Amino acid sequence: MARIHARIGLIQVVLVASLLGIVVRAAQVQLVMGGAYADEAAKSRTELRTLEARRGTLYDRGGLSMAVTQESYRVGIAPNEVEERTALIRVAARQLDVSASALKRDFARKPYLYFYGPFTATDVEPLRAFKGVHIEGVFLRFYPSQRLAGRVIGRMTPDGEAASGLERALGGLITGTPGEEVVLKDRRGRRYESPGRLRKDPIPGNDVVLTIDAELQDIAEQALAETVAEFSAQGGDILFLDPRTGEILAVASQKNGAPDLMAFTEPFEPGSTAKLFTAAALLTHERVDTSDRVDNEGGHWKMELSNGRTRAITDEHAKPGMLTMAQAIEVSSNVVMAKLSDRLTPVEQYQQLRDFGFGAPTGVELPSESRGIVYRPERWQPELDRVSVAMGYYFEVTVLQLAAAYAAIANDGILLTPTLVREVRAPDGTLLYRHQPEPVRRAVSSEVAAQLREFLRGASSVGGTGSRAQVGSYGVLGKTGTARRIRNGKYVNEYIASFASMFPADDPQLVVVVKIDGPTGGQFFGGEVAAPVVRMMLEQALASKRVSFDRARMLGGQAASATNAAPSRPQITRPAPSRVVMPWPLPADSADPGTVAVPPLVGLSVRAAAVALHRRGFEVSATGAGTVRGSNPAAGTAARMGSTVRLQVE
Amino acid sequence: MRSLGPDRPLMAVTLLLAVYGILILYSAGQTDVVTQAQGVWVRQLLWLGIGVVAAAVTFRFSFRMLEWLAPAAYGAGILLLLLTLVVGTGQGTAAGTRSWLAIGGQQIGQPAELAKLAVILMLARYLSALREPPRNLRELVAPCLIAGVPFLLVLKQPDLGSAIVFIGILFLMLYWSGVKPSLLFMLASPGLSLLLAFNTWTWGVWMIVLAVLLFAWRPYVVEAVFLYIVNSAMGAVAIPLWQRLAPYQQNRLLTFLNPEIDPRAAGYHAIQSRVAIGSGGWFGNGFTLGPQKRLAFLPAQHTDFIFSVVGEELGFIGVMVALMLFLMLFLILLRIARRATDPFGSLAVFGVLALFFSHVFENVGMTVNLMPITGIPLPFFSYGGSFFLIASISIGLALRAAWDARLSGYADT
Repeated sequence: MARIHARIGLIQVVLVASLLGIVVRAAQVQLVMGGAYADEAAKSRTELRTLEARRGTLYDRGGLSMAVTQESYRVGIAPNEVEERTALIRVAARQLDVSASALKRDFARKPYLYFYGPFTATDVEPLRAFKGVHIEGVFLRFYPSQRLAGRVIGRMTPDGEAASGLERALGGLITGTPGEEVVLKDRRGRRYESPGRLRKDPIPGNDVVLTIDAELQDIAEQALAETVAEFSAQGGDILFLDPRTGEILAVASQKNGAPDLMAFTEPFEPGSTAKLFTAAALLTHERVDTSDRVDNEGGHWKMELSNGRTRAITDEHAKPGMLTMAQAIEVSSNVVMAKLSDRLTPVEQYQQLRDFGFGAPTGVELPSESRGIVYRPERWQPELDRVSVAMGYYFEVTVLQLAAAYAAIANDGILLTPTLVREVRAPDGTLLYRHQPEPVRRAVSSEVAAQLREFLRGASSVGGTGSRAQVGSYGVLGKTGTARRIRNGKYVNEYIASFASMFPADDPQLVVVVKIDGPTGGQFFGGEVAAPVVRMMLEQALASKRVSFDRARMLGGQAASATNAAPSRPQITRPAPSRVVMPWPLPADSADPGTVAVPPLVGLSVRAAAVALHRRGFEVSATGAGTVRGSNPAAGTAARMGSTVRLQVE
Repeated sequence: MRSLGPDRPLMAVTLLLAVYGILILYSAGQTDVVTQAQGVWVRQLLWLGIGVVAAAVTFRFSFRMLEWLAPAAYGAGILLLLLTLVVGTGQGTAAGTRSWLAIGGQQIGQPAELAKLAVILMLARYLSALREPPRNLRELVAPCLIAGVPFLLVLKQPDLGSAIVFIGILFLMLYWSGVKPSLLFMLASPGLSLLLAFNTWTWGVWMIVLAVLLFAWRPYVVEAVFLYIVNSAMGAVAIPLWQRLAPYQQNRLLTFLNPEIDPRAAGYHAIQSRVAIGSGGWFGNGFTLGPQKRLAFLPAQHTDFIFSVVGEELGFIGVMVALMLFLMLFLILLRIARRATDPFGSLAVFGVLALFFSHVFENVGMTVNLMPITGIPLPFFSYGGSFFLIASISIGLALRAAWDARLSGYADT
């Protein structure tokens, strides 16, 4: 009996100890680590979902929608959650446009039905009442004006990422801030309960009113397409700019189907349209008098170089004789400009070009713009390159830069930053930002600007190269350009015909630049190819009711403009969207010509600092992105234009 | 006081466990996504009814009758297991195994469960007929064969969990019959060799320890030599044998040691069960409200992992209550086995205790990651007809033993 008792005792001990072991383990799992496992469990069954924010609408300056985000819906049905099956099948078949029998079959077979849609709010509304129906809102981007201004506005990728153009460049301004919600999911990761618990409301993006005038844009795009077709050209660009504000009213580019906005991105040698800038330098430095006359050598001049060789310079349009500066511009005399360039130092020529904004980004909102090419005067070959520059070669500009420079001449000599953004409005309609002219610098004095406009008046009058641009009685100021193109480092018989103009002649409201690449069929001069396009477009624009001209100012001249023009611009405190606003007038930089003071940069973003430096004519070097902590040379010190400023970035 | 009714404590504890089990099974079906568990509690109620009838019928059988029936039941069990190996089908996650018998596509039961009871009866019959408990290895050959044949057949299905239950029953019943622990240790030594052979050093130490023990216990020289050879052979074949295991079995054993090895597949069950039980804390998430179960994170929540539902929804308190009920069941069965007037009855009741204990310990231990994952049901909780029926018959048998003892007046001592 003793043995059996020992046996039973041992068995009891084993039974109790075994279960006690489990209890201890259960206590460890549930009581000691229970919190951690509860967290882990919660994590495995919940999912933090971002709620897409609605993108802001892009309007043209007249309020026409150019890019709109609409909420569409996709519908999921979980058959096992459905209670009123027959009713739901009937309603869903009607609203989602599917057959009721197929729906019934899928209900029995599939664990989850998904209808991609997109459906409208009206489509899905009756379905909301049913249990087991999960309606998912998605934002889709529409472009009501189709391809109009597509290169400026840009497009979205199918995943809803901004791919190009302003859609991308405006970035956080129109994307808004995504919200967050917590949803439950099952083992397969399928969300089963909707709607989730809201953690953070999405904040919709701001609406942006562009400076683009849809009507003018349409006119420009069609004119460009027609012209390119008519002359079998390779492509071309047209840009409309308001010289008083820097607002870009229309910009069209076309080239072999490439999607870029070449007017911003592709620099070219401007040719004769740039003669005006040399003239500006000559006038500014008083190296020429309006009554000075220079012999054009009968249109053919063999320029003698100091090494004994000669360089042939030819005029295409000029009659032989002694020409004033005005006449030289009028007939686009290369010989006279070449001779006059001897009166300027390369530094003076260079600085004038930089003053007009060449060789630096304009600061327009699209970051892909080219800065063009202006070589530093030290690199110029003596005698040769100053002549080339005077004739509009040996430096490259974008259509946008050319338009901005002409706008400076139209705007009494003050260069403005061109812009595509006119207004930014919060989703509730509050005005956050309204564009106001942003002066970059004074490119030329008011008197010189007036004188240059007089030159242009001649150039586009009956005797001038741009006479075919004239529109009715309003008068167009303009300068033609016909530049040979470089292929593989050599000039070939292929041309870029261009015309840079202002309209109307008195008190210009528009700067129009037309550039046609490689026109063929015998006609290639700017006066033949580009100038008539300007006239055609201006006629259409005047005939249109939508294109906004200050007609009172055009008709009544100066008297009317005193009352109507310069509408009182509302003073708005702006949360400036990453723009650099420089104090105006600019402080006197330095007594030494050719040197500029480095502006204060600390606290700016690298991009903003780079824009500020580019405007002063500096090169910029920086590593990394973030906030600028300092610069070398330091702010306030004078540095040579074209020299490099190093940014210390945090 | 002499009572002529069936044993009340056993009835009460069994009834409580059955009610608790049905409630948890009902909760297991309350999910937010479609699972197999929905509505099975109704069918389990049907099995409960059948089980009550089966227990009542068993109660009517005298132990002489059962003793007489044992060889037939054993033979039938072996035959069914053989049949299962030929025409068996899989089920659920273990779809690749052959553990189910089906007729016309309808699965009717798992013969392994029947075989467990048959082995208990057969062992009870054989051991109770002996005048003395087995004293050497040679006398253990017959009982080992009785449990070994179904063990191998079930292992072949392959169903490692049920196979191990046979070993548990064998050892516990041998111990109850009076076999010396040292002899049982020698019997178990080849198995230990198998486990320890994975490391040459541990195996070397083990072989030395074995030699010392054999010298101390002084069995017959032939047996000692034989045992030593068998142990050496086990150490040699351990690695090839491991490689012959099915990958899922290897994974289950490996992930038992560390579930994070393979958290998405083999370790998934272990991790999800532990997380669900752990998140229950002291008082649980509330009856039917366990979110891990509702969202189907908990695997097989109506069968092998039903105890995880207890842990998640009723917390540590619920776990304690369930384990206390099981402990009470075990102690009651132990008392009945001790008081049984008939050696066969005593061994049979103790076999039933061994059966329940190995199932509960293995199943609950598995859900809290104390034991490897093996698919054996938790008595009275897991959904499944075969095992419920066997459990009911077992309870009927224990009730009969208690009744017999009472009739002979043993209960008063």
